Amino acid sequence: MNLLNVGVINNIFISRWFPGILQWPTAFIFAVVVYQLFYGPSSAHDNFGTAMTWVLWWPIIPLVFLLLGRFWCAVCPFATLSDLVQKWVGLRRPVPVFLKKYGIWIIDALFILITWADHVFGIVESPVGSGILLMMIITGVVFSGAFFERRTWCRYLCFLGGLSGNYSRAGALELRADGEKCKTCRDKYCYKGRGDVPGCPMFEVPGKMDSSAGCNLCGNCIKVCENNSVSIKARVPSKELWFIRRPKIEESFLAIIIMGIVFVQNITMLDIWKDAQKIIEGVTGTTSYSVTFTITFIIAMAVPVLALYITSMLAGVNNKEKAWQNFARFGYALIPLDLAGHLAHNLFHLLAEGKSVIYTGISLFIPGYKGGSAALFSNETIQILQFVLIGLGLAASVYTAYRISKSSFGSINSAVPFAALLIILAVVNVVLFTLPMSMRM
Amino acid sequence: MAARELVITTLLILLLLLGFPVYSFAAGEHSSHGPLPAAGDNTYSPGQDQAHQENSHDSHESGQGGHNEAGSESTSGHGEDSSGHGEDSSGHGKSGSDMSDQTKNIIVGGFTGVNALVIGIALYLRNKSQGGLNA
Repeated sequence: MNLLNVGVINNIFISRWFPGILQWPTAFIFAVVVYQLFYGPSSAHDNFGTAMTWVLWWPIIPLVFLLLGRFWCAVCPFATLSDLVQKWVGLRRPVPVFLKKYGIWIIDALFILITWADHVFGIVESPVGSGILLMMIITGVVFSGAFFERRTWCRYLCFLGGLSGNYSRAGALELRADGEKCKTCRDKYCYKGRGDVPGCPMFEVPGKMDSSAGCNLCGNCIKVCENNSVSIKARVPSKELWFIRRPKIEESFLAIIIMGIVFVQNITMLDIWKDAQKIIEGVTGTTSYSVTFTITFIIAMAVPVLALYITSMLAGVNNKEKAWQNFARFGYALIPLDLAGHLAHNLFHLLAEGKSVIYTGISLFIPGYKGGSAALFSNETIQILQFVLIGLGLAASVYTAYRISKSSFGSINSAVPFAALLIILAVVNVVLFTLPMSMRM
Repeated sequence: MAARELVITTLLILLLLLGFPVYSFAAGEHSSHGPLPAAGDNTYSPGQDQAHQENSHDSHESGQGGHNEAGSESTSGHGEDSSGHGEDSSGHGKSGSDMSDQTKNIIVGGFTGVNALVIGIALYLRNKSQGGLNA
């Protein structure tokens, strides 16, 4: 069903106030967050900026990707800033070829680097550290908006954009255009823009789009299309992953890297991390946290990648594909489990520390206000929800591997090794969620 | 060609300028950072007492040391005592607390300056290219 046939939804998308009416409040809150991170309470526990960023926004964002695809990117304050800079001083130069070619690899590298830096420099638990991370991103956004066309940053450089692109493929919403209608269209206003409405900020041509990875549902194409070609439909989450026409190894690599990152985030928040550190310190002969963490980090990143590569080799015995081809093709099957793991990990922070957002918010107006318990739900409830999420993610991932195998090779045999790997990864996730975990605030 | 050189030079200047606020942070902050602090903060354990686990806001002290104390109070899991945690995680929780407003101003000012420079250069190049077109 085309949701644009529902009057209210259609009116929202064609309104000239959309998505601006959501962009500006978001930008205002973002400004308060950045100010608080730098000049608010120095303890992360009491800082509204930290609570908003790491207890509310970061845990909720994967859920937004699941339900609304990449819609966050349409109202993201960084995108708003990019648009503003571009409007004032933008040179609107074409995107450099190397960015188009290696953009996702750069995103992969940035994601790894930021996760590493978070642990080594303590970004999450340091309000100023979080503030500096945001300022660095702002600088990148300003540079991109000043020199390059459209939302180059969001499409080719934003690490969250890479994440959202991957997760949106598993999302429950898709915007598509009627290819037949678009073939006869010569105006291509959806790409070029018309009047006050700019063309697709994400460099997409809706008529050729077969993925939600690049669509932020900003509605520009809906506003300008004269053929009513564009539709927005609800779909079975992860369905898009069943039919990836041109699998890219860098996107599969990001999927497995996210799994590694979720493991790192979990492991370093567990009590056993202390013991693991002591073992590494004994082996390396140094007590430097940077060294012990970096070693752990490399292992946590490398093990899932190697596991997927070996699984791809095993699948190759059956389907005669090269390992890297299977890696690229079946790597997408990891995305639902990634999303589930990411959601489950952050669900703990959201539900066990969620009230801290309210308390720190109140303390902006009543200095010294501490509030009470930060938990929204009991541990047992949170844990059950985590297990349910992992179960759903595993089911979706295994089914995706099955569909990929069937559509690519006509049998399910190639999916078997990947199903085994997915089960192992899910079990590791479940085990990690049964162990004591620390809070962010 | 000149525009290209200008962009490259700008990039290099930006990298240098960016390095300063980051260095300021690293110098003031990094040394105070211990092992992943979170591990010592408020440990959640599946079986532990709800009231204790709830990361009670009023159990924390704001400012330096507040987190550490809370960390040492938290249970390590399944109701066990977590003595030693606060000690292990020393340094955590005072993130940013030992950074003066002056240093923060330098960091914010540094980034703002870099951004202003980027905007200024883009504006200059745009005016220049428009001038070229008009000529």
